[in-house]
Amino acid sequence: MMDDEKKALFTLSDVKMHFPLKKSSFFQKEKLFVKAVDGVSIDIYEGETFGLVGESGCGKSTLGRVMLQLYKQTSGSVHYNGIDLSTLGKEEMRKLRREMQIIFQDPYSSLNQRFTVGNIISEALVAHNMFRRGSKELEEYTIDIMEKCGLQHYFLHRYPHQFSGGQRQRIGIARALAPQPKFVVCDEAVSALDVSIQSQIINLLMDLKDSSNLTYLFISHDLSAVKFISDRVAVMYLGNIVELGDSDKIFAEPLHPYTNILLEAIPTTEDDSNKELQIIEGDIPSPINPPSGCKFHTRCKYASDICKSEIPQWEELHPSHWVACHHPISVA
Amino acid sequence: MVKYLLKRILILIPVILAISVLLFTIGKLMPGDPVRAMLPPTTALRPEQYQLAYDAMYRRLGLDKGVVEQYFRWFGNLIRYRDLGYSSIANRPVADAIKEPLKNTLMLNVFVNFFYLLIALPLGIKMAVKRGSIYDTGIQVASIATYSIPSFFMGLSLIYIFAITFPLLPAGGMPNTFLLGAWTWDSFKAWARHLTLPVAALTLMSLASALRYVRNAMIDALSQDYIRTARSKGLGEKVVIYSHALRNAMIPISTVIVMTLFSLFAGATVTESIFAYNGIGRLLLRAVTGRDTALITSLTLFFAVINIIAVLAADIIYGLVDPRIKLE
Repeated sequence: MMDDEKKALFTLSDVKMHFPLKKSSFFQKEKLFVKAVDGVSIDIYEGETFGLVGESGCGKSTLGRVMLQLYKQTSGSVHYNGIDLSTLGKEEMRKLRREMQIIFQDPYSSLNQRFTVGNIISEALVAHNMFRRGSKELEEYTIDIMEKCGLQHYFLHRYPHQFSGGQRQRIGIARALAPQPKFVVCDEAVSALDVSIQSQIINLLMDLKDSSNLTYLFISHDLSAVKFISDRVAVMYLGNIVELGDSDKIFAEPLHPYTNILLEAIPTTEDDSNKELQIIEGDIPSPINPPSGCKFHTRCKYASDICKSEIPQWEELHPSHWVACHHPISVA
Repeated sequence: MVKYLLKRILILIPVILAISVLLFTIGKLMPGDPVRAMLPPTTALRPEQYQLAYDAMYRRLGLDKGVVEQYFRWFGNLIRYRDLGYSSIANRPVADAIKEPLKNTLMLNVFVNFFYLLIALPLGIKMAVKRGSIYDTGIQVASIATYSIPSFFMGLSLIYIFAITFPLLPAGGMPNTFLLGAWTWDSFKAWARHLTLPVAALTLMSLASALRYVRNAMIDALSQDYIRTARSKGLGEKVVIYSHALRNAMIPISTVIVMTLFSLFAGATVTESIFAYNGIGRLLLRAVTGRDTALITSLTLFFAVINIIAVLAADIIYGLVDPRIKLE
């Protein structure tokens, strides 16, 4: 349960991120946009792990990047510790980046192949004047953080291509945690890895969180990982948050039909041969021209006329359990 | 690494042998009589005397032997005595005739390459950073224009503007010989005046492809995921561009730089001729018009060997700058 005394580290209000599309022909009149994030308002509290789930292409990664201002949002505002990030100048934002880091999804392309592991990890430390370039302390600190993340000290002078996927992801984690951030976006941090390494990395993230009081935004399409790691979970569909609540609540009694279907799709080790598998129909609609009303109505079995015409309200149906749906499941 | 190098160099030997056979054959097939080219004009001698002299020269050049034997004599002399044959137009051994023009061409190309890198690197980087802007498009259009202008037109235009309309610089030629020996202020000035126009013409013409190459390599590097990583670290934009992106863009660019460095030796036939610059390109053109088989074969063999070495050097550099590539 979240108490009122919890302090919001990030506050997003009505954040939209629309990417302009190139005109397909000279005669095309209106400019088209991919509405990757289409009006998201959430608070992320200090010290919590906030899970963000949804299908591929629903805008999870974009939301994470907008929060760190790697993309400038089209509209809406992102407040960090009460500071409106869009009002900051380049240099102020650059300095603030020390406190907010991101672990990228792809451990292959996100590491610069021309830099040694030592350089990759220590670069930010020098840029933020935490250590002097080439100093003994810097090297000691780098080796220390590498060992915390399960990397051998002699990897220091190696290049990323000499490592396996799991090791590279550790480099990415060490890199993100080195400048002692307060907030870390884990953007599908474990999805590229095989299951045995996934659990290692998740345990590593949890250990590091406890030891340095971190706040995580854990983005994943892997619900079992999210369930394991998150305090609160938000479910995203086509650029909108459709449900938000404490992790155990969401997994125990989902309110939104979409959440329900996602949960039922989690593979289990139990015998579920006599359980009917609900298959979500069709593909995720185009984020360029999203459906009217509730965006999920094209694939929802409970959809009625009101779903097509009216956008559902964002309601707190149970204490701190929010949903945007005309026909929430368990309350019916 | 050493093993790799040895292997690469050993492979070069049959390549060079094959090229020498090819060039020798082409030289043999060329029209023209090398014996007559070596003798004084027919009018200077009576017919019988001329015939005697002709036969003597015929034997001296070894033309009475079979073609295969001729090839081995030619190649043997080349390897053992570094004897490239006798140039009929220069009336000296080829090795002597090449020396001066080669020096001049090197001199010209050092400046061309210097300016070309000096301009192409920063401009290409800026074009990539400001991709799609007026700055980028403008330079692209301008560089395509200079690239599309034929070299003779470029040369003549520069001469027309800077030597005739505004007589600031000499239209061509070389500095006076008495200035060449010593490095005085006067000789420096004379060189500078004579080099300016050909250097400008060659630089302008080679700039377009280099600009595009640098621009595209930089655009490619800047669109990579690790650039986002670098920004997310909170690095300054300068560090992101010049340290992260450029370092990766230099992998393809460095090989091109190496290739251009070796092209220092290759003359520009048309441009050198237009400016009457006594370089190796002009020498080749004169050798062709004068049907100087020995000179043509030697020059083309020289260019071929330089090219082969350039490709090898580019491969080695590639392995050195890209940590992912191991030379084995």
